[in-house]
Amino acid sequence: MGRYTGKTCRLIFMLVITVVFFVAEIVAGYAGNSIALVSDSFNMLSDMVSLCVGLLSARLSRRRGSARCSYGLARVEVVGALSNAVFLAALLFSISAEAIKRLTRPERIDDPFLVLVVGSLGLAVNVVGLFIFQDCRWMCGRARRAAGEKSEEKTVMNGEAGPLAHQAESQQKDTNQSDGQPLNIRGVLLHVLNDALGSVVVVVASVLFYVWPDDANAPCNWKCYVDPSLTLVMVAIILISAAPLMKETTSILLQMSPPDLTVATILEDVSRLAAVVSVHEVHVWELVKDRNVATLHVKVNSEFGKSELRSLYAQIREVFHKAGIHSVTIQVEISDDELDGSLCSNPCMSTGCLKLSCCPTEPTFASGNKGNQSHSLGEVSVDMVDGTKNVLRERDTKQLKGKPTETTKF
Amino acid sequence: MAACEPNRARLLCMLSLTFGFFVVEVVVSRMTSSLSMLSDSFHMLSDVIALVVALVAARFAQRTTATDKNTFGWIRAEVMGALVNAVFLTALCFTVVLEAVERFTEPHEIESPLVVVAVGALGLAVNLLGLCMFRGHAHGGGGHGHSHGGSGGGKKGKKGSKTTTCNNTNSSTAEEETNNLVPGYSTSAERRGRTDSPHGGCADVQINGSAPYDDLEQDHSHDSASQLNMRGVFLHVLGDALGSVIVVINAIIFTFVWQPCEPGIPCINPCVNSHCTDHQHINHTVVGLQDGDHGNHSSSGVMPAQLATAGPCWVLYLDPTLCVIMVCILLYTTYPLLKESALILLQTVPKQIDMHSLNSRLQELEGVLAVHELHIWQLAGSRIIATAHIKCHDPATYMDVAKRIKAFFHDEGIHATTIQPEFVTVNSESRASLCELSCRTQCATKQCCGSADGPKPAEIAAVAGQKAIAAGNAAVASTSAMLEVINESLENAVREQEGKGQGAPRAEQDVVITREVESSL
Repeated sequence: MGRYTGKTCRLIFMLVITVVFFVAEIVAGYAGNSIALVSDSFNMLSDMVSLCVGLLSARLSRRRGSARCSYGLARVEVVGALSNAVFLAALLFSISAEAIKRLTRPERIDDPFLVLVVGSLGLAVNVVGLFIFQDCRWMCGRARRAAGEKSEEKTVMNGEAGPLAHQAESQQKDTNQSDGQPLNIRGVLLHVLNDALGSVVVVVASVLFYVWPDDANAPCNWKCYVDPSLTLVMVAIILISAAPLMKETTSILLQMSPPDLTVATILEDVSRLAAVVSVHEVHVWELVKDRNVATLHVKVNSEFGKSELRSLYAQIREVFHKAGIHSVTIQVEISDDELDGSLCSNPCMSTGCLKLSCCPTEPTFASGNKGNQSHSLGEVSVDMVDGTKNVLRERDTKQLKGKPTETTKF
Repeated sequence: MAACEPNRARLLCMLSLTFGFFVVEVVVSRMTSSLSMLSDSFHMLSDVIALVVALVAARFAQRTTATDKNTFGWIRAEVMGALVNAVFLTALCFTVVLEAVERFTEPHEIESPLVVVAVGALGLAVNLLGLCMFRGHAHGGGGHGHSHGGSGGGKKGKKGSKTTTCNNTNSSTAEEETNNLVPGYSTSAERRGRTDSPHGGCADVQINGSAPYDDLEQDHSHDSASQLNMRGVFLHVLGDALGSVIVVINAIIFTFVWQPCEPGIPCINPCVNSHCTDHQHINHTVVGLQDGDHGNHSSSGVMPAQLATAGPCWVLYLDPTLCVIMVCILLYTTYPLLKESALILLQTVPKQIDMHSLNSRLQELEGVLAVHELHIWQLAGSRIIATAHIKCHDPATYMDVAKRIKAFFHDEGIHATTIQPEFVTVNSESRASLCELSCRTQCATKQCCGSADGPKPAEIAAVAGQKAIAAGNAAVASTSAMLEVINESLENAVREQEGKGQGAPRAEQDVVITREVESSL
């Protein structure tokens, strides 16, 4: 998508600006022997680190699937955004530690003019950065909305409902969702915002010292407390801004179901399909935002042939498509077992595997025809033995013959 | 769950110790108004934060049942806790490096070094205690597959060994199992029936049903997942311990080697750069003074200058140097944890599984024509999940093939699989690896893996009301041949819907359609 190249370009541009400013500040700091400059340049350094993380994740996420990563590296953006957010949190932690130390032992700014100049320059760079990362969003959003309108017109012209409207709909959905920035840009944006607010604090504090100069030997008055207290306020602001990003990345990484979907509704729709006896082991998760993956097990009775199966697949995929899930893997279990519609006819090899499967004690979802039943393993065994005779017909029945009546006791 | 109790108990214990010590350090720093004490207390606070993160993750991860919000349960929380802690630690190392660089340019003296030594030693003791508590998880690895390694803690160890016996026999006789076991959950019943089986011992454990066996297995699979979490905590505590070591060493050397400027006696401190002094000048005088001044408090009479100088400068540079060394050690030990947890969260294939060979062996199974869309990923610990689309001949024999496939994956250590069967209409090898059923073409960018498998519009089975869809797809595909083909298939499919049970003519039409599609590609 064109959006990706635009994103990388912005990141590179911002990185170049930041590197230049960092080098300039460090050189000026050591030449002029000013600690304030040196420490401000370290802010730029942390910005650079976050930009590198953002850039790396933007580049890597375009890689396709391979033998090591069957889903490709799409998730890199999410992990990169989380890393940026945690990195920022750690920086904020150390900044607030410094601020608290300053509150206990306040110091005055020695050379307010120099600090003012440096602070303003830093603020300018960061404001430029904020604009760079904000700007394209509106432009891109407008372009996509225009495209959406065009396709809507086409729909009207062709007079067809259904899928083209769907298309327009999905494009609209696209627009709405792309109004929220891609995750790794949001992570970088937070760092730039942190830096910008820090520069604001520096400028405010140094202006105070510049406009109302103190004697060098006088004890520190209220002006000395302005810097650390404003810093703490800034930390609070940025933590609050970072919270939504952390929440979103966490929900993706924890394999949570997409926030705008109700899994139970989808299941009900699927179990209402005529051919479906029951549904179980349903999993829906987000690979990244807007790319949802689902797997489920569907029980059908044994009269199924190829074409029925195909139409069943199509129907099930339709249900999921409407819900916004486009990668579905459907495990069909052909079984005439009427008793335990909610249990898997094709599980792994033994009970031992139950705990190594993804979700050991899963509650059964509502199957259209059967009620919710939760079984302990003891009960389960009874039903399955009776019910899986059909499936066993191809099997080597020698073993079964060897065990006469004991199996039915449980 | 029993497995988690020792972990959580340890975490809580360490948390209360560390937090208490943090409070002590803050109070002491206020009393002695020592800045270095305050900064050390913030190191303790960062430890507290790491412990809280690990505790929250461990708490979450206990809920392994699927819910509406999270169909996999929350077991991934521990991997996330590990990643968050690793990144947090890396970031703290970064800030420590920045501070050290600042110290190089502007060295500080330590005020009241004896207090610092005392509190530092106490902090070191707390951290060493923490290290001992979490040491079992220090060098653990991730997923074990079938080899159930030992776990930390005595109680768990015993349970672990029981599990080992059971599952070793299981894995060695996996072939037997596929034949013996009734698919489904009747295994306990079956096993009780086979009194002479080698699994006898296991059967006893498993029979009593859910409770004890559940605990065993849950211990194990939880164990490897929570190992990552504990490793994160261990690394934080290690970092703090190293920090305390540095503080103590520095303060001790400072006490014994450093000659401070005494109040009341005029003296200069050559080590702290000021704008006015010339470095070379200072170095000369310092060098000249060193021999005579060592061990003497009084500075008059021996020196050419009238001023005393504060003692050897290298002492002031010791702190930042040691800090940089500590950061290097920490980063070196944190990197594996960072990599491992990141790889799990990135949905990569677990390192013990070779996708290519697995794919080829899967295709060699009897009844399997082709495999595509194979995905394997690790949920957490030893829970590996796979999905695949398998092409088979016909539904009648499908369930057998399915059993074989499940057994195959079981042998690989993958116990949660979802296999989507697709049945070929024509025995055409060239198209055997292409997906017969996928979402519509415009969904390609929203699928998990883009458009790796080209969707076949013509083969999407028609349901009443999907005619428009086909037309839409045709617009995308944009060949007139395709249009004809699709219309044909639609008509046929509609006919299929209406008259089930038409065998041969339908098959012919299918054949015709698919061949048409082939030629137009």
